[in-house]
Amino acid sequence: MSARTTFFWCIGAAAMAAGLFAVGDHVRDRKDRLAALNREVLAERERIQVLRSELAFLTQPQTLEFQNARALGLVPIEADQLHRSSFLPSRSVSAPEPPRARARARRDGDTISGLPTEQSSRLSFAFGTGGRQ
Amino acid sequence: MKPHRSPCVALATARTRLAFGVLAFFVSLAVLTIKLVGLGTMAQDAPPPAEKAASEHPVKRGDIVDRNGRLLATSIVSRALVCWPPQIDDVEAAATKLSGALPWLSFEEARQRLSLKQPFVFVARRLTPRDQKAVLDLGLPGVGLMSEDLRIYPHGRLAAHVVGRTEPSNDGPVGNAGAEQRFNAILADPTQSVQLSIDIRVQHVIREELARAVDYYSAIGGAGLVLDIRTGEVLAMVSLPDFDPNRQAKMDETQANRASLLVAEMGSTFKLLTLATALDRGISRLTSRFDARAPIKAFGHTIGDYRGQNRVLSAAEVVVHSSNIGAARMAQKIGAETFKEVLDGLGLLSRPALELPEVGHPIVPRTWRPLTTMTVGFGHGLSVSPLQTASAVGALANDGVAVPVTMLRRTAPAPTRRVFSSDTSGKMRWMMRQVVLRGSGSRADNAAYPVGGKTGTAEKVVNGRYDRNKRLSSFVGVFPMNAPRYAIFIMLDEPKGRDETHNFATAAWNAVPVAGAAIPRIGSMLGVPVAGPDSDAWMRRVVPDRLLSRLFKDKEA
Repeated sequence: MSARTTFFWCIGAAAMAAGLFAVGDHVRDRKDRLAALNREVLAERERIQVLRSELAFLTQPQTLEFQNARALGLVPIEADQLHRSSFLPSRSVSAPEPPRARARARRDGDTISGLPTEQSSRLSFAFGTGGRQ
Repeated sequence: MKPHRSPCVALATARTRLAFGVLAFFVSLAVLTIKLVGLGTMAQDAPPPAEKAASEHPVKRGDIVDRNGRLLATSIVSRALVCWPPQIDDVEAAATKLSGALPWLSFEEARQRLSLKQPFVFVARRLTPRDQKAVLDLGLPGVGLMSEDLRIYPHGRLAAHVVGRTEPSNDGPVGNAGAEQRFNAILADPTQSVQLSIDIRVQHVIREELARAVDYYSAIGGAGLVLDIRTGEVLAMVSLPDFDPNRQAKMDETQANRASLLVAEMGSTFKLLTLATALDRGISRLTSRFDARAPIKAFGHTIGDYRGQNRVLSAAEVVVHSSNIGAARMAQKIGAETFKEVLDGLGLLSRPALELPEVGHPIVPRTWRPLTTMTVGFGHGLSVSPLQTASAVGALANDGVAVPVTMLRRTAPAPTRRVFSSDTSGKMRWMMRQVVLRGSGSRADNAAYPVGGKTGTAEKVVNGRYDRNKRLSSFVGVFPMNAPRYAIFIMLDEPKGRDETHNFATAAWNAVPVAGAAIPRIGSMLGVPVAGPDSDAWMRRVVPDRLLSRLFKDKEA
């Protein structure tokens, strides 16, 4: 084996060793990063699980009912509060009001202006005019 | 003086040394190469960390959710205080430090746990983050924290009997009641979850109304059910008294599931089934007459009415006035074989295939005597569960088609079985509505959702004898009667009379108002269309008004 061949072998071996070291170092780095990410993922999952439990706890029907009653004054619905708008008596169809009369009515606030009769009655129903607290 | 070696010898020596050096170098290189290849190939045997993380779950048990996906049971990671006694040098000092850091842990208890002759011991579970920090700050050798699953029931008592509970084991929590036990194998996989048929909102309404009645009438317990009669799904199942599964308290007999495990004589609610059988098999019509002028004395027993009309009653009146005498005569006409066949078809003679461990076997008389047929006609002599009763009455209203009950949300149509004809079902719907309009079920009626049903008050059997002071009062109903969809069952166990009820403790006074209060609330939740002013128009098609005078002889007719 010539001295030149031996020299190239030595250079090759040194280069390979350096490359191996670099790759190994890179892999170790990535592994550490991956392990950290895994820990984060698991920790996040744990937190999500806890948050889901807390959300379920905070939205218990009895809790919502209590908070509704306390903060909004809402109480469970009763049968006589339930109606269908289609069962409400329809208003008699009359000739359209003159513009001046309509403006007066709007000022007095006794109708919801600009809406057809049926829609108006539906809105007044939705605002709970027939409700009971 | 050392003699000089010849140049040839020196050259040969140098070559040999060089050859050894090169050989050593290549051997080292070969070792490194083999090691590199080995590391590369061995690393592939283990799953890559990224894939491992994707399949890992922080907990070991799946969730239980209601039909709308609301969480009923889940697991979170908690930390337990553990120790390895052989590694602890000074038990007294460790116990002193631990009890100092954790105010709730006494020195004696800590010392007792730390000195156990075991390799590994749990000292305490469910440590708060503050407690965890306190333990870690101590840095005691042989003492540490361990992650473990903690089963959480966010709704507490609300669905306790349905969801069940777990007990800790070395492999994590294991179900020992309710759905936790029934679906233990599925829930052991954290990627799986179980979706129950119950609606937690409906469950809440039933529990709230039932608890109020149990308290008001000083009952020892109660049961409430809501079923979707078209799919067989159980939307609510309440049993009182209940328990808090979060506290792992031991359950006693009084906390057993009264809705599905308890079997008892259901009393007059059975009269609906008697009349339906008689109508369906052509044995009787609504106008048929039954002599209820005097109690029946047969086989050494006397069958009488609670509030007798003391006259001949139509079949419709037998149900509306809840005449035991009339129902017994009707059952007698039906005969044992036919009656048993129908009851079996309704699933009243066998254990229902419900997905809960707590399901009771009906108590069917070993020898079915002629007297048995008569007593079963008015709900005595055969013990069934509230669940079976509600399911059977649901089939009556569901066009005569029985659907098996289930605790799981159905994703495919259920297998059905026709038990009664459509014509019989229509008449029975009319009959149930009549009980509410002019009979004992009037307090269940409301303006929004027409209700039909039947009350039942049965004396409990104590030491083989009926006890007049211990009753089960129940109401089974269906709504809305113009398009039947839901069955409701309310039962109070040993309710007491009050001044407001004139000291009566019958179902009409206590169980029926519970249903009356609950139905409008759950009807709106379930999106049931509100009935119109002529919601009972269908009744005239089933029984024309001109027949009413022949059916009812009382002043209301």
